[in-house]
This record gives sequence, structure tokens and C-alpha cells, in this order.
Amino acid sequence: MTRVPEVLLLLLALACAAPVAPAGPAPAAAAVAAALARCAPYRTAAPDAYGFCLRSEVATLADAGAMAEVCAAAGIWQADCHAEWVLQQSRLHLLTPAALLDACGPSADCALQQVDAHPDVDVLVQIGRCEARTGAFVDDCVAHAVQRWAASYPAGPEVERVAAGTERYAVQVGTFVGMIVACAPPDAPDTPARCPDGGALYGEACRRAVGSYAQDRSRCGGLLPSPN
Amino acid sequence: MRPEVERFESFFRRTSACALIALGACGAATGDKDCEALVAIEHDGCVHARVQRASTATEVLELAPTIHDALVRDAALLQWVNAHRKSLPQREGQAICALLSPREQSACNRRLNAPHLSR
Repeated sequence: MTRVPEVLLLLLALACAAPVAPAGPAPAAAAVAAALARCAPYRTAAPDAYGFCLRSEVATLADAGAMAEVCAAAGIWQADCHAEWVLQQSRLHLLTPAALLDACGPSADCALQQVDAHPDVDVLVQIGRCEARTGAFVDDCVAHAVQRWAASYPAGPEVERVAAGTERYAVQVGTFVGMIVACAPPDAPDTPARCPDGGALYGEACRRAVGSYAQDRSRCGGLLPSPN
Repeated sequence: MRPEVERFESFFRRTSACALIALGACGAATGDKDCEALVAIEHDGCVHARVQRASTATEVLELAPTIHDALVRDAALLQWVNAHRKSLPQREGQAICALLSPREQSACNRRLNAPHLSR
């Protein structure tokens, strides 16, 4: 015996009894409105403090889109506002490194911290990320990447590969390769024993670093990765 | 030149100089009263603007404590440090950072100490 009519009636009754979603702003929109409202008293009396207030308020937002909306109203504090949110979120470990980096938005300082904190295993890829994301701080980012790479005491072929792919940073790479030549410990025998052939800037920087570290080997300690 | 004219010119020069000094003093006093005549957030916003016009850390250290609202005070101090961090002596920078609320002090000290931020 079929019970289709009864089942249909039951479904109809359930559908009618289902509560209607309350009208009103979505949670993210409500959070944005609340943050803007809390800072509103500063808006005309202290306009720059208004932006600073928004920068403080973003910590209460869980959503990156909501954060970007609030930060867009923060004026001179916009970049700092993004950085503040990313700092808070990075402590919660809820977002991926890529999402945190995206959330840095216009803050090059924030991007530098994120790119540094999650380095790619391939130093050339890492340098590409530095160039793509860290704006005015690209040289700092590349220096950090190359130093980290040098601290792993790469073997000759790897040094040649990186030297060939970083002509733009010949002085930085040459300097760190010079450190490798001068400072490599006995248990890293595959490291280059002399400055490899390369462009003039690269070779000169390498030889200068070798001379400098040969004079004061206590500075070789700087190659070691810093403890976490 | 006739003596009367000389006397008049001398009198005029002295009077003009006095008027200029008086006007200058009056202007300065009005500038001070601009903020003091205000209350609450308007007062703090006014001092915030004066902090940004300060050219020395000493001025900032005198003005900032008169901002009652901690958020406005933090905004004023950090904004000034941002604008002057490249030329700010370490000791003066630290004294300014010490006026911030605890949650902002590490951000302030990082602005002074991170090599890429102080270039």
C-alpha cells in the first residue's frame, strides 16, 4: 500500500512550520556596521583617529571581506589596518598562509612578514614571491631569502642554478655565496670552494665577502639560522 | 627733514613694532586657547592636530599627555612616529613609545627598530 499522499502532506506541513529567516543584515555586514558605528564619534572631531579606531576595531572581524571594507575607510591607517588584522589572524591559525598574504592588501610590511614567515623551499620561487608581493621592501625580502638559502650550505650545482637565475640581485647573491665559500663547515663538503664564475658584480661581491669573512671568521655565525 | 616729521616717523616705527609683537603674542595665545576652549573629543582632536605639527620629540612629549582619550593619544603618537622615525633618535623614540597604551607599544618599537622601516 502506498503512503505517498501522507508523506507529501507531512512535507508540506514541515515546510509551512519552518521558521522564516529574520530579515536584516548578514553577519559580516552587521559586523562592519557595528565597527563603523563604534568609531563614528571620532569621525569629524579627530579624522585621523577615526582611521586609527577602525584599525583597532578590525580585530573583532572574522571575515577578510569585512576587514577590507572597514580598512578602506581608515584613510592613512588603511595599510596598518590590514596588517593589524593579519597579525591577529595569524595567531589564531585559522587561515592559510596564502589567505593571510592576500589579506595584507596594500601593506608591504605585512606582506614582507608573511612571505618571510612561510618561505618556499626553492629560493628562486621565494624571490619571485618577494618581487610580486613585497613592494618597497623587495630588497629586504630577497636578502632574507638568500640568507636563509645560504645557511643551508647549498652544493655547487645549486649555487650555479641560483646565481644564473638572480642576475638582478647579483651583489646580494654574490655576497652570500662568498659567505658560503668562506664559512662552510667541514661537514658540508659539496659547497663551492671558491667564488664561481659569473657576472662581474656577482664575482666581485663574492670575492669581497670571502676576504671579509676570512679576516673575521667570528662573523660566520651570522649564517646560522636564528632559533624560532 | 622737518623735526615734526622725524618725530612722527620714529613714533610710527615704534608703534608698528609694538603692534607686531602684540599681534604675535595674541596669535600664540589664541592658538593655545583653540584647544583649551574645547572639551572632550573635540579637545583631543585639536591636540592631535597640534602633535602632528610638532617638529621635536620634546613638544610631542609635552602635548600628548594632555590628550585624554587613549585611542586619540595612541593615534597621535604613532602617526608622529611614522612621520619622523627616520630621523628620530632612539632614546626620544622610546620615550614616545612609552606613552602609548601597552597594546601599541610593541608596534611603536618595531617601527623604530626594524631596519626596513627606519630607512
